[in-house]
Amino acid sequence: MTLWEIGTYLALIILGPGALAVFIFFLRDARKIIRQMERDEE
Amino acid sequence: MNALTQSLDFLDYAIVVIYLAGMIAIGLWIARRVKTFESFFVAGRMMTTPLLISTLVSTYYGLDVTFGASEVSFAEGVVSWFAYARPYYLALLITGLVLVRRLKAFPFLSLPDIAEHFYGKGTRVTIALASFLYNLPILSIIGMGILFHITLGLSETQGYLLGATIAVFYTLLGGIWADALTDTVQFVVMCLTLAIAIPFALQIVGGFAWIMANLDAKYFTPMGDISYGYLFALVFTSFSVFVEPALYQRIFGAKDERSVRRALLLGIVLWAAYDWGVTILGIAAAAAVQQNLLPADLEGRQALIQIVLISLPIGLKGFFIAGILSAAMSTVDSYLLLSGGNLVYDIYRPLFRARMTDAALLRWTRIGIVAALIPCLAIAVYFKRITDAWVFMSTVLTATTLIPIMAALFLPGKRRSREGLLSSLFGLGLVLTYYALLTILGREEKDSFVITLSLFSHSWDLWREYSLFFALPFSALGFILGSCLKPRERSDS
Repeated sequence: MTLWEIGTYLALIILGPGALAVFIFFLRDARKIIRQMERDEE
Repeated sequence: MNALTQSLDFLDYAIVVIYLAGMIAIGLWIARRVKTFESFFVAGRMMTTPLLISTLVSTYYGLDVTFGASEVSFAEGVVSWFAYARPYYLALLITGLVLVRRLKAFPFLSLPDIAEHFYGKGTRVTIALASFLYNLPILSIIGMGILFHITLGLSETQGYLLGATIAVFYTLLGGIWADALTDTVQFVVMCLTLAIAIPFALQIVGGFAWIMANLDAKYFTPMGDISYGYLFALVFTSFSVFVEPALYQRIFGAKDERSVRRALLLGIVLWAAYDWGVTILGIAAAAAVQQNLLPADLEGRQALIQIVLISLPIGLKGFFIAGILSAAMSTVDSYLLLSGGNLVYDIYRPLFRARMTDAALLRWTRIGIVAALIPCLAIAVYFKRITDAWVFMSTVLTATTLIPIMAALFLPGKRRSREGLLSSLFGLGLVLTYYALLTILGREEKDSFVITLSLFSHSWDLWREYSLFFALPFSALGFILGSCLKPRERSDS
């Protein structure tokens, strides 16, 4: 396997599972942010 | 109907429509919750690391970068990743490690806020004007026009109008919150579609084994055949990161210094992966041309979309178009918001209505966003060589703002108003003069203008793109001159 192929697999891992992981962490934060916005609204 | 329009199925169109409807729904949902200008413009300074990663990565990736990077790799190979992208990673790393702490020490809302704090209103307005010009999302609107032209069969002008209308609609409603939340969805869609497309595209051209055995060796030469002079110019252009208005807005909107630093460091990893994915797709398109899977006269900027559309099955094509739209819309909405902010918060308010209420500021900024769209669409329709417009816009921003802003943030001692004013005016003036002279006196060559200077039997070619080499020292000269003039102190550094 060449370095180019290794780089491509790495990119696929970052773009697939990596991006999903960021999104999951975002969902966790989103609830807190929405609660905060609702508190501000009140 | 062109060949690509015919290759799309009802399912593909349905996916794109669902995606667009979802983006508008997010805007409507957020609109009810945004009550203050700070909430509208910097998300009430509540943005956390995942939100910052998503909005930073997706905002930077417009269609210009996506199509531009694949265009270079289609013609030249991996040099697209090594030479063109890496100076930007370095600039982002420096920003994360050095600049963020300094910026978070002040309650600024925008880049011109920094200028006014240290130098006064004159510098604020000069920098706001340069920033406004830079922020007009002309390239992405043109990209959307081309995409709608290819996929829906609309004229390019109709495409500009449709894309811009959708992007402005949800930005207008929810400001940075709508922008950041849609950016998050757009970020995931962009990354996943690329991750899905790469294996399909590689498979259709016979994988790396075929590519390595049959493509020219230059495709895998990291630095290609670019000269050190050109590389130096690329490093110079990456300096625009240090005064990038969208980056500053996200730093100001971050919950704290740590969140934004982590977001930048993780963002670099994601940027690098996305850049590499786009590079590989460009190379795969070059292989597809050699195998007659794509036409021999394929234009470089269409390489990415063409290789993906011949590789992906029905349904995934729609998903991919939604991903490409995501890349464009996340850029258009972010920069439209900044342009509207420049017009109202940075120029109109300090000059004409200093005591504007928060509600009025919010209302006028929304009007400013629509107003910014008008020159944007006019330029998008008018310009033929739009890449030149981008180089000009980023050069204007860097020449006008880099020296005064960096000096304000990092130079010890007190700043004087004339330092900022002369520095920004000298930088701006030189770029405008240089461009005017080159256009009038220079000769047209390789889609640009050049003047050959001869001195002591040596000759030098001065390209239009070299303006920053002269503008930055000239801006520094203006700054020094301002320091030497009779002092008028503004505030502490």
